Amino acid sequence: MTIKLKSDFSLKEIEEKLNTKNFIGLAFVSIYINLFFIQALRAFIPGVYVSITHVVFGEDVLINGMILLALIFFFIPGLTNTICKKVGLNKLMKFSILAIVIFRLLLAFQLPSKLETICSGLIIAFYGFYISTFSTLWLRENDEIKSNHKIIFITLTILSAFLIDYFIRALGLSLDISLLTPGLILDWNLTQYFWLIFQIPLSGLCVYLTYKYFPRFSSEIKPEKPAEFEYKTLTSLIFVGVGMFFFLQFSLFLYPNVIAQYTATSYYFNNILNIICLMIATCLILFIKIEFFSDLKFSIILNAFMILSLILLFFFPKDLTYVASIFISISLIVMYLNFYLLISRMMKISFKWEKVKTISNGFTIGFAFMLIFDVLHIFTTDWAGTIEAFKGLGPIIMLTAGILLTISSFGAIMLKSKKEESER
Amino acid sequence: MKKLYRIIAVVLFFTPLISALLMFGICEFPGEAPIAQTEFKIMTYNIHFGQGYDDKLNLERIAQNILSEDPDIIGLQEVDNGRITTQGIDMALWLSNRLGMYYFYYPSENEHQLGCALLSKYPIKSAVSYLVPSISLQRVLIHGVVEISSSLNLDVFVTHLGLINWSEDMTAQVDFVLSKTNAVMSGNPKILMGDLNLENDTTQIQTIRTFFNDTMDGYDKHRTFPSYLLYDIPDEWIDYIFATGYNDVIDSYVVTDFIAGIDTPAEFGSDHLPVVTILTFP
Repeated sequence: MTIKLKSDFSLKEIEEKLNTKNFIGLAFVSIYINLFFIQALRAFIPGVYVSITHVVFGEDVLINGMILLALIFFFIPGLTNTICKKVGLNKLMKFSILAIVIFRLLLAFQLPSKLETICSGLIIAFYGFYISTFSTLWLRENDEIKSNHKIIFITLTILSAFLIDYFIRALGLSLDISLLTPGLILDWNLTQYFWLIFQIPLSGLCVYLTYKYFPRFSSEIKPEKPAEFEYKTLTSLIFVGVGMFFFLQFSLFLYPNVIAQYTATSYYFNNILNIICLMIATCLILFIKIEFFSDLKFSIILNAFMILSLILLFFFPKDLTYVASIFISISLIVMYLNFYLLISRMMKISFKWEKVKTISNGFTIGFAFMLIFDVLHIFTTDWAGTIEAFKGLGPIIMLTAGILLTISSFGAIMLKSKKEESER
Repeated sequence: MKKLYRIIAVVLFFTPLISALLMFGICEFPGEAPIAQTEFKIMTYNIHFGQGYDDKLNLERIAQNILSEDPDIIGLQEVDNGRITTQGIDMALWLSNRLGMYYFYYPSENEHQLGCALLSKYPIKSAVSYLVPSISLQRVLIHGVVEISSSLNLDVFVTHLGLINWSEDMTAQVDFVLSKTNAVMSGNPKILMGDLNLENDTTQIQTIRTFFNDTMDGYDKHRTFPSYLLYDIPDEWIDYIFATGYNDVIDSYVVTDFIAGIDTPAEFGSDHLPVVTILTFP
């Protein structure tokens, strides 16, 4: 049983195939680009929201209205394929890394709020370029590393970024000290530049490693594969699932303080528990074969547990307190595993487009759904006063997102590429 | 993988967990007991979710605004917890740790968002909260019993009432708040503070005045909103500290300047100004 479950994935194997320095360069840059994306997403939505508020209350309508256009950054990754055809995958990937690093550095300089919003939006757009070009290039690279192992590595870098994010917020007591000041010095005028101490070396190291040790991929866009039209609906469902994952994370589950507030439990307890659960999810992906999680019956059990946990959290939090808190923390593992399945499937299929287009469109559609659900959820808070129909619907919207994530995970399991079908 | 790299990777992997455990240990460590005193500084402050007129979310600036007065008890309004539009921060938790105070937070929406908070240098013996009858946005009322000493407890109420512009029934909200404050028969001094969204000449404020004293009476009544005159919006005096059962009002004022010599929107952490009163108790 142990042998069957154990994954043949090994970081050592990747390190040997790439050589140590390239491996470190790849891991470091990937993790930090993912982290910068997480931080940018966290900064972007509040910036846009403030502008919307100003527009509604008639203050500086023109300038704030223009900032609303920044929402277009969520959709720019959809242009990846078009740009790639002009400049090439490699160039776009390197340029995207550089752009993300520069804009993240600018964010740390505490720019005026409008510029801050634009910078964080640009990071999101360039992340869409980066993730699709990097994944496509590496998956197509003939470096003797199995594509499954590459996908595991990419997923692990994303989860590692979440882990670092937890670390930063644990130090900030729920506050992301990379975006807001931790209050160490008595003058906020100085304190607000605190993160530059870390951001300058981090950005410098990212640029250095990208140009010195980041693997040089050779492959460019290959001719289109035959279209796999029959997978259209299920494929789209996977993209929705990615969006739901980001929505659930950034609206609630990335924040132990929210779980603590819901369940009337300790923030510190939930923070520790959530970090442990993320570590467990990372270990599961690292050590257990994906086939184990891809078993539909097993996935149904896991996802049923997740939905049950969501129901307990949203409808009986004060009765169950620590029970609900533990349940939802465990179900975080299920969410991360679902995300792994979705990313894995998205990177394996090519749908009717090239792979780069599949991944970039996947993230774009995902972002669009995340945005829709974010707006719906925001309607249940401040705007519930004016749009009464949304009053008290917050938990229902969250639960719907959870159900969509579950369904899309089932879709990811049921969806097999023609190649995989023939292997079976 | 080389052994050294493996060790580094494992250490890095466990660092978030270790840091979370350390923060738990540090933050839950019992703080210093406040020094015995006769005068108590009370503050009410609508912090506008930590966003100032420069549209920047900056809780440290709010903390600095509060520390410029160093109050003993604070009633905060527009406090957020875990909302995507305020970067997911638990503002009451963060501010209480930053200011070294006890706290109680109660949200009005989705069990975690848009709430009021009571912060105190003295232990909060007990706290309850109520949903204020609201037509538009849900409003809340907090009642905390602050234990100053074995012989002195304070009944502190913090609220943030609705907006007339949003067709809110302000009379019903004020009546509800007063029904809760009047129901407390502990004999302790009572403090009712918050952003009431009502001007001084309204009938609802006059109703409150029949049960409480406005601690600003006899002092300069400066506007509390907006904090900085940036947009063409009318000045309003809508933040109050009412009290009863105290000995004297030593001073009462609206804090209008946080950094001497600077006059920019950036020095104001919120769109409201804090109101401060210094009271003595029997």
